[in-house]
This record gives sequence, C-alpha cells and structure tokens, in this order.
Amino acid sequence: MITKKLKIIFWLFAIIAGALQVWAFKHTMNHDAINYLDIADFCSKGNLGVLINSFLSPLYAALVALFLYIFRPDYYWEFPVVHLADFVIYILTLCCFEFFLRQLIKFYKQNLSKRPGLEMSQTTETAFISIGYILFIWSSLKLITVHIGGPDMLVAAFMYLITGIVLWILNGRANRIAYALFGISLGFGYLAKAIMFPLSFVFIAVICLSKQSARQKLSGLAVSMIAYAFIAAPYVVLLSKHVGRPTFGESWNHTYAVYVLELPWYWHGEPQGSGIPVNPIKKIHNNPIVLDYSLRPVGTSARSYEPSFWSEGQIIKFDLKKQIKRWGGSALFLYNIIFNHYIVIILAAITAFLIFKNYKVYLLQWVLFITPVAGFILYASCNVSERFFGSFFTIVWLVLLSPFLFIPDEKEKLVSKCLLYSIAIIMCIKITFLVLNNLREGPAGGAKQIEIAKGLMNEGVKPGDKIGAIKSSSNLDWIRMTKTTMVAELFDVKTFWGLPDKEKAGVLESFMRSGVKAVVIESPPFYAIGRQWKRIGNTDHYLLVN
Amino acid sequence: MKSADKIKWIFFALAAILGSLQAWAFRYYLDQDAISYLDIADAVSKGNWGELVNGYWSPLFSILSAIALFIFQPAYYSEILVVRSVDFAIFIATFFAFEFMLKQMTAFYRKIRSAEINETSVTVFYVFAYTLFLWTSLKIISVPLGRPDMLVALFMYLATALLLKIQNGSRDWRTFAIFGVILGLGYLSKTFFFQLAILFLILSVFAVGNVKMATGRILLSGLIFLCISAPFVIALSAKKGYATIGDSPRLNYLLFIDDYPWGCAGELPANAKGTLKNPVKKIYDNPRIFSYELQEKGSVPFTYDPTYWCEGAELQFNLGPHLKRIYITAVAYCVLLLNHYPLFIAAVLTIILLAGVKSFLKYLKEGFLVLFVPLTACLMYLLVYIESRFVGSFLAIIFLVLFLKVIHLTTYVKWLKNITIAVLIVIIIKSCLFALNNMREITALGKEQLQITSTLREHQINKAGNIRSFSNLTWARLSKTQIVAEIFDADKFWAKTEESKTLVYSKFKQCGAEAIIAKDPPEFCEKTGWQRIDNTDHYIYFLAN
Repeated sequence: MITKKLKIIFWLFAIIAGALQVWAFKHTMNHDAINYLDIADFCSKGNLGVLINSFLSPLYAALVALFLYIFRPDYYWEFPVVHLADFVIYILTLCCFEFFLRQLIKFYKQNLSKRPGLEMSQTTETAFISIGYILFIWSSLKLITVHIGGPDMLVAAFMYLITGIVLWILNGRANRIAYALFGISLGFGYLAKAIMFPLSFVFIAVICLSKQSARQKLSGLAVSMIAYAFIAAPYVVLLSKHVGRPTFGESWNHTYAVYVLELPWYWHGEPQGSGIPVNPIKKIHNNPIVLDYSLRPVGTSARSYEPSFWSEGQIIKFDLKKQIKRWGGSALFLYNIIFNHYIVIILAAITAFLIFKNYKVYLLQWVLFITPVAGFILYASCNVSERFFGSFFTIVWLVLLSPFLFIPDEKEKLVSKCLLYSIAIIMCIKITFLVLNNLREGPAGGAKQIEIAKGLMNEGVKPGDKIGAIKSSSNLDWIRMTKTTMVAELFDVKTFWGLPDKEKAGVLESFMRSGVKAVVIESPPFYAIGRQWKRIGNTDHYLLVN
Repeated sequence: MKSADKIKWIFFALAAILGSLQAWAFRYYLDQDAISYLDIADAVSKGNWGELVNGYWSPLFSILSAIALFIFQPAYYSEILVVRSVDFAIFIATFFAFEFMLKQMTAFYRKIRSAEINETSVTVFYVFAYTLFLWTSLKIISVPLGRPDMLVALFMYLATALLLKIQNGSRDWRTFAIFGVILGLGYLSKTFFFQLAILFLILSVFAVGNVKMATGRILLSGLIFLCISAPFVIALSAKKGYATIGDSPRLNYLLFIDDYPWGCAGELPANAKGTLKNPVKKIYDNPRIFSYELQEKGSVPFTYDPTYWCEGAELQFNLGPHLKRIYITAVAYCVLLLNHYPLFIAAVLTIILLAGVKSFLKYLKEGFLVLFVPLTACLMYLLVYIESRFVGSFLAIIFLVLFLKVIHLTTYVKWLKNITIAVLIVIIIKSCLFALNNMREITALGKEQLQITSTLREHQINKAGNIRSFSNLTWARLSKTQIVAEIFDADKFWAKTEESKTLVYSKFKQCGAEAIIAKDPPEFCEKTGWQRIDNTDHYIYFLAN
C-alpha cells in the first residue's frame, strides 16, 4: 500500500517536473531536433520519402509529423507542438520504466532471492523503488532533457522496455507474445536511433546466454527475429538503396570521421588519403572560410539536414592513436557526468559494496549490465554527449544499488533505508532546483528567437528564401521559424571580426554572390558593427539584406 | 599509536601532499585580491609599516607575507612561491587547529554523555571530520589563496576549540588569555571577525556558566582582544577621519545593495547620496578611461584600497534591494550546498533519520553554543554576499556538530562507518583529480603571466595602461609595473578609428604610461601597432613609439 502511494507521488512528480521543463523551453529547440523537425514537416505534408535519411533515424520524425499533421501549427506554435510530442514520449518512457522496474523487482524476487544469503528485504524495497524513480527523473530531466527534442528519449524508452522484456523472459513466464514484443521493440528501437541496431544483437545474445531450455530459446528467438526483421528490414533496404550500398545507417561513419579521425565537418578531401568527396561543399571564401551548400539547399540547415551526404566518399580507417585519445576524452567526460551529476548515488553504491559482502550479487545480474556497458563502449569509441547516457546510467546504478535489497541484518537495513531516503531527499531537491532554473532561463531564450524570426519576416524574408549566417553557435531556431534555408555559413567568427573593414566587406560580398536573400550576423562585437547592418529588434542579431 | 592518532597522521600526510600540489600549481598565479595583499606585504617588508593601515585589506596576512619576503628576499619569479609557502604554512597550522577543535568537541560529549559513547563511534567521527577538513580546505577555501580566508578558518577553529574548552570546565586564566589573543588575531585577519569576536566573548559567559567566575576571566580575554585590535582600529580611524573597524562591509554594502559600481568608478546610482572625496579620475569619455593618479600605490592602484575611491559615499537603507540581495545569496547558498556538500548532507541526513528528529533536536540544544557563531556568520553573509571561501570554515563546523551525533548512535556505528568510508573514497578521488587539474590548468595560466612579465621587464616598463577585461593582472605585480590608467569599455575602444585611438593613446601617455596591455583584442590590432606577447593572448602597445 505504501509503495502504491509512493509510486503515485513519484509519477506525479515526474509528470509535473517534465511538463514544467517542456513549458520553460517551449520556444527553443536543439539544433539536431530541428533537422528531425524538417523531416517531420515534409512528412506531414505527404512526402514520406524524406524519412529515408542516412543520418537521422525515422521514428522520432514520424511521431512529430503525426503531431504536426494533427495540429497544423504556425511558426509560433510549431516548437510547442513538437515539445508536446516530446512530452508524450517522456510519459511513454515513464511507462516503459515502470514496466522495467516491476520486472526488475520480480527478477530479484524470483531469481536472486531464492539463493542462500540473498533473501530480499521488505524494509529496503520501498526505499530502493524510490531511488529508482528518482534516478529515472534525474536522468531524464538532467541528462537527456525532455525539451531537447530528438530521438534520445525514445532510445531511453526502448532501453527500459527491451530490458524489461528481457527480464520478463528471464523470469520464466514469457510466452511467444513476449518474444514477439521483444522483436518488435528491437525493431522500433532501431528505427529510433541507429545505435540500437548493434545493441539489439547484444540483447539477443543475452537471451541466448540465459539459462532457458535451448528449444524454448530457439523458438522464441525465431519469433523475435521475424518481428524484428518485419519492422527493421524495409527501412534497411530503402536506406541501402538511398545510399547505394548495404547500410543500417551512416551516422556512425560521419561521427567517427569528425570525432575520432578529426576530419573537419566541412570535409574537402583533406588530408590526403581521406577520400575524394562525391558531393563537396563549395568554399566561397578562404580566410575565413565561408561555405556554400547550394548543391543541396534542403531543410533549415542544408549542412546538417543529412551530413553524410556531404561526407560521401570519405574513407574511414581505424587509427589506434586517435582512438585511444578519443577513449581518454570519453573517460574524462563520463567521469564528469558521474562525479557531477550522480555523486550521492556513488556514495550509496560504494556503501552498498562495503556493507554487502556477498559480491556474487553483482555477477548474478550480468544480463542487466551488459547492454548499457556495450552502449557506453560504443558511444565512448566515437562521440559522447550527456543525452545519450540517461537510461544506461539508470539501469547500471540500480544494479549497483541492488545489494541494499538483500541485507540480512535488521539494524543494517535501517541504516541503509535511512541512507537511501536521505539520497532521495537530496535528489528531489536537486530536481526541483533544476526545474526552477529551467523556468528562469528558458522563456528568455525562446522570446529572443521569436523576436529574431519576427524581425526577419518584417524585413521581407519569406519562407523558402536562402540565407547566409555568420555565427559560431549551432542555434537554428530562428531559421526554422522563418522556414528559410541556411545555404551559406561562416563559423570562424573570430578571424572574421579581426579583419579590417575592407576585407570584411569582401567576405560579405561572397555571401551575396552565393544568392542568399540576407545575411544574419550573430552577436557581433561592439567595435565591429557596420553601419549598413540592421539590428533585429532588441536582440544581438543583425541583418544585411541583399 | 592510538587509532585517533593514526587517522590524524594519515590525513595529515594526505592534506600535506594535496595542499602542496595545489600551492605548487599556483606558483605563478595570483588573483586580484592577492595582488593587493602582496603589494602591501612588499611595502611592509621594506619598512613601510604604514601601508598596513588599509580600509579594505586586513593586515595580518600581509604581515606574515612581509616576514617571508623579508627572510627570503625572492627574485620576481619566485615571489609568488614565497607567498604560497605562507599559504601552505597557514594551511598546516589550520590542520592542527582543526584537530584541537575535534578533541574539544569529543571531550564535550564525553563529558555530558560518557555512557553512550564508544571508541569506534569516535573513530568514525574523526574520519568524517578530517574528510570534511580536506574538502573544505582544498576545494571550498583553497590552499593557494594569497588571501586571509584560510587564516580566518584557522582562528575560527581555534576560537571554537577554546570556547568548548571553557565549556568543558577549563577555568585556567591562560586559556582565557589565549582566547583573547585568538580573537584579536582573527580580527586582524579579516574585519568580519570583529563581530564574531564579540559574539564569542558573550558566549563564553554561557560557557563558564557562572557569571561571577566568568566576569574576571572574560574581561581578561576582552582586554587582550582590545589590546591587539585597538592599535589597528585607532590607526585606521585616524586615517579615515571617522571611527571604523574596517570599511570593507561598507564598501560591500555600497556595491551589492546600493548598486554602486566597483570602486565607485563610473556612473553612480541615481539616488546616490554624499560626495566622493577621492573619485577615480575620468580622463576620457568615449571610451571611458580612468586614471589613478590620486593614489598611485601598488601594482593595481584601483584595487590597492578600493575604499579610498568611495570615501564620502553615504549608505542608504532600502528594503527592496535588501530583500532582493537576500534572495540572491540564499540561492547561492543552496547552489553551494547542493553542488559541493551533497555527500556530507547525505551522511548528516542519514544520522538525523536514524536518530529521529526529536532526539536530534534535543542533541542540538546541547551543542547550541558551538553552533551559534558559525550560524550567525552564515546569516550575516546571507544579508550581503557570499563566496564559498568565506563560509567554508563555518559550514565545516556546522556539519561537524550535526554529524557528531554519530557518537551517540553506537548500535549503528558499524554500518555508519561504511557510509563514512564511502564519503572518504569519493572525496579523495575528487580532491586528487581536482589537484591534478589545477596542476595542468593553473600552471599553464601562470606561465602565461610569466611570459608577459618577461616582456615588460625586458622593455623596462614601469607604468602601463590596461584595457580592462576579465584578465588576470599577475603580470603587473611580477614585473613591478604599475597600472596607472585603464579603459573600462574595451569594445568602444576597438570600434574607434585609428585617429581617435591616437587620442586615447595620448591620454595614457599623459598619465605616464609607457605601454598599454590588452587581452584578447580583435586580430586586426596587429596591423595597427599592437604586438602579441609571445604565444599568449595578451597584446602590448608601446607608447614610446
């Protein structure tokens, strides 16, 4: 009964906190999510072919397209509608987590608790479940973030769901439906993000290595594989046709080239041996570099709509030295996440390790460990970002905290319970602060983007126009709001502002020659503001019309 | 060797290693406040004792640095290292002061609840306490400060220890005499300690518990406190022309509540009252250039005694800005606690939940005397402004008293030990990585300062202008170059035509500047006579050219 009440409280907490975060950032969007929005927009207008993109997976875009189709928002309401979709995905993720947590507790009760020395305790179960919810909320709001958009929350949902189904199967009560659901989830997981493709084989390996009868596994997995293939195969075929070779997604190659091999994202075939670009980005000015994407002026940012289009022709070679450097960087990154965002959880995990002397408990849960660890390794080998790791951390931390469930001594149980509740209190306060901070910072950013978009529209910039931008940030909000396409870009702003006026004029001329309607300049230093530039509203953006 | 002693020496070794690494990393780097303290120390080491009388910077840290400078007579490049040795010596002294305080704390609870205490629980408390000390000293206050915050921690721990000693029954006149000395030295470390000293003296009456017995002894403490503090108070009051114990609180009030610009340079708030006696002189309007010719002292005259420039400004009490300020500092407190103390909060909360809130409150009542001063200090900072280094020692004492309840929870101590060890492990990992990070980043920043210094020394620049930014000015101190004037609006300056810039340069020349230094100027500056200093992001413009 207490657990039920507690669950309701945490569900409410999760929903309110998530809703407030989305509300705070209703008018801003991550640049990656804008590329998905571009696809969703085309898709909602009936152009389903755009879902076949070698860099961006289709599921998130398809879901957003559905919302766009239903609500048909104007430029002002477009981002809030996308965020409504994000919020719905977040609630679905919460449901998946609930399913996972239930299966996890069942797994502990049915599999571990029967072993000598691992009797499960009712005293610490409630505290453990509380920490579970807190970990979910924290990982979702702090690491993944509800408002950021993009498929990472979907990936989290599928991670919880698939891990939950794996536990369901391992708990011994699974039927063919469970196996079918397993395959379907793997398929949709892959459609959410290409990383789920290799991870799905780790999940399948986990089932293969489990202690079930070979016949049961074989027949079950056959059902799973059919379901998986039914969902994933059409996309793989279409994508391979689109790219011109067999592929399950090209994002890995492009990201590896940029983050490990350190090739510039505006790759031109240098250094030697890195390949010959099939669709080279045009360089219209050399120092500073101004890039022209008019070869394929699609989406808000022609560059990031399908980055692998521009890197077609790259030769990806394994470079041990650079790979080790990348692993080092990723390790430092993960250290920072662990010690900055989960410090009290480490405290609990170390305490659990010190209190509970039966270390077999960790080994018995290898099935839970293996997929998140594989995920960590995959990402750490290429590119890391906080939003990738939310669900992985939640699962791993729960495993590391699980010894608290099996503590035999009554006094020990009481101390553990008090510690877990202390940590839950601190984390709840941290979540509250995070959301309050979001509410403080979010709206101003959104208002600014709307002001820029309105300013541009007042100056005669129309949907479909091509524009150029001089900016160092990756922000694309105002470009999406005006439904224009950024086809020329200068990103080395420091060099640009350091030029004498005459040379700056030369750079701007090269923009104009590329056929842009206007050039938007982001946060120029005070000393460099030219007289012919028009300030957009009260923002730090300036406009130069062709 | 007793387990408490073993723990002490292990932590001492750890503190010494990490503290020395941190101090070494900062061997070429001073922050703005530290530059002023070192300027004063330098003047004092050359016999100019009058420089100690400064409205903003308290004298004790400068005296200690002056002694070290006098003894070692360092070359310019090892000057900061000498200051770091002072910092390190203070840190080591603080460790022993902390240990003394711990002994008095445990003695206090042994006295009133001896039956409930066992040695394991005391050991657990010691491990927690030293872990807290490590974190507070290395991360929150930081060893290589060149500022008196570690000194404040030292005297805070000593004063608390002596208050507990008195509460533990010591009626020795010597204890009270030392108590007075500590309070006096505390005040000479930082003006803020004056109010705390008075609080300590009042609390000591309660600690003795017998007014008759307390009167003579506390009068002795008070007298000694006055003997130590009065000369400075008199000298400062004479210099300022009004009675004052230090003008830093006044200046902070002007800055954070009345919304004055730093050093009262620039536009004063619309409702400003009073007339500035020594305003910073504005010698050019667009961009604003301020000259410090009224008080050309130290490497950076603007910060040598910031109260000097604000003399004459009258404080105004307005409830609105006060409340706004309290809100800002309250948020800053929450951020500080959540970001830097979550492990300690978790440990303390566990103890509160285990003990039960009622029992815990009863326990707090017993330790109220010890808690009173740090809590009051935190509340006082809440009114105006906080930085973690200001409140590090106060928060440490508060956490210690809260955690000390552990010595009553003997039945759970076996498991509480594990939590304490977990806290220790995490703090050690974080501290080690923090120290390594300092070694990498701060050493690089310091070397950059050394490169700028070499250039200035090579060209024998004695007076320079500066384009104000968020840059560090260690180079001014190391090269003994005085910044005589500064541009406050860098952007406006760079937007000027070359002709207008020439006029700006001439203004600097009139102030006696031989060169102007800028950090991160636009790249085109190199085409207009600015020269990059080695591979740093600083540029120099020679006015003699």
